[in-house]
Amino acid sequence: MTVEELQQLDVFKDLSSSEAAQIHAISKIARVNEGETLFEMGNPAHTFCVVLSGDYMIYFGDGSAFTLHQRGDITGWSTVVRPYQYTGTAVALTSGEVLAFDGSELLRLVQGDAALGDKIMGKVYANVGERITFAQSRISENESCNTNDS
Amino acid sequence: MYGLEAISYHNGWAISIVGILIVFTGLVTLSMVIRIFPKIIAIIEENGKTKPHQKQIKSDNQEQKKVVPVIDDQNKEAVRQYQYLISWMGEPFSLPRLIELAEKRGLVRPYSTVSQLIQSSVIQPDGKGFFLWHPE
Repeated sequence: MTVEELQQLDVFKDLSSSEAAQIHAISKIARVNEGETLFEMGNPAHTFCVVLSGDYMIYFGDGSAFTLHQRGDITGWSTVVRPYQYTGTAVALTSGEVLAFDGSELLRLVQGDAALGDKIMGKVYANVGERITFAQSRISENESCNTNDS
Repeated sequence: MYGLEAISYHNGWAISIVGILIVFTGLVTLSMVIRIFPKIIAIIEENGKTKPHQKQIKSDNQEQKKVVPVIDDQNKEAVRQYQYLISWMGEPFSLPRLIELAEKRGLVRPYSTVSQLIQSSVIQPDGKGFFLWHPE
């Protein structure tokens, strides 16, 4: 993958060429097979992934899940958000490729360059916001079930 | 009179052949019944589900477009198998649980099949982390 191709991904599209080059330097394309686990819930978050191809499912302890199908979708944002522990398990539904980033390397770049950090974390927090909405709907669903049970 | 001579004298060969044919015909019939049994159940279940929907359309006098999944002939069998699993699980259902069940039942490539069913809108998210079968 070239720096220009990396800049076309939604999470990195606001980066300048030099910033994209820094991110590109720590990226690695990883091939994943159908059924392969990318990361597991509860484990220390070491890898941040951007979907290049394939379909993925992220699921949680209560059996809820969501799927990723679009190039540029991100997962594994726990690598840059405290407490740096995966909150779900990611598994590949089909074979595909992800752009993988070592968590500590990415965190070093994000914390070392304020402008770069703002741009990336802005995208990450937008994603986190969607997940929080998703989690809230799960919680309200559980609460309504508990209310009905009682 | 003993042995083969006795068998021939008392029509033993003919009786044996008739017996074999009866048993064979019975087994073939039984296997065919077992083979079409899931299809009969699917038809019965389909009738049970579509009737209320048709009544609703008639009462509302509104044309509702049904979501038609894009599924080729090769996957129709998979659709039927997953529909059966989901009807057993109840809706809304957990996607990882569905895959787990499919694996236990020995279904071929459950991960990619489920992905295909999602992409073709046969399985759709309910927005709360769980999934529905082909909602209309």
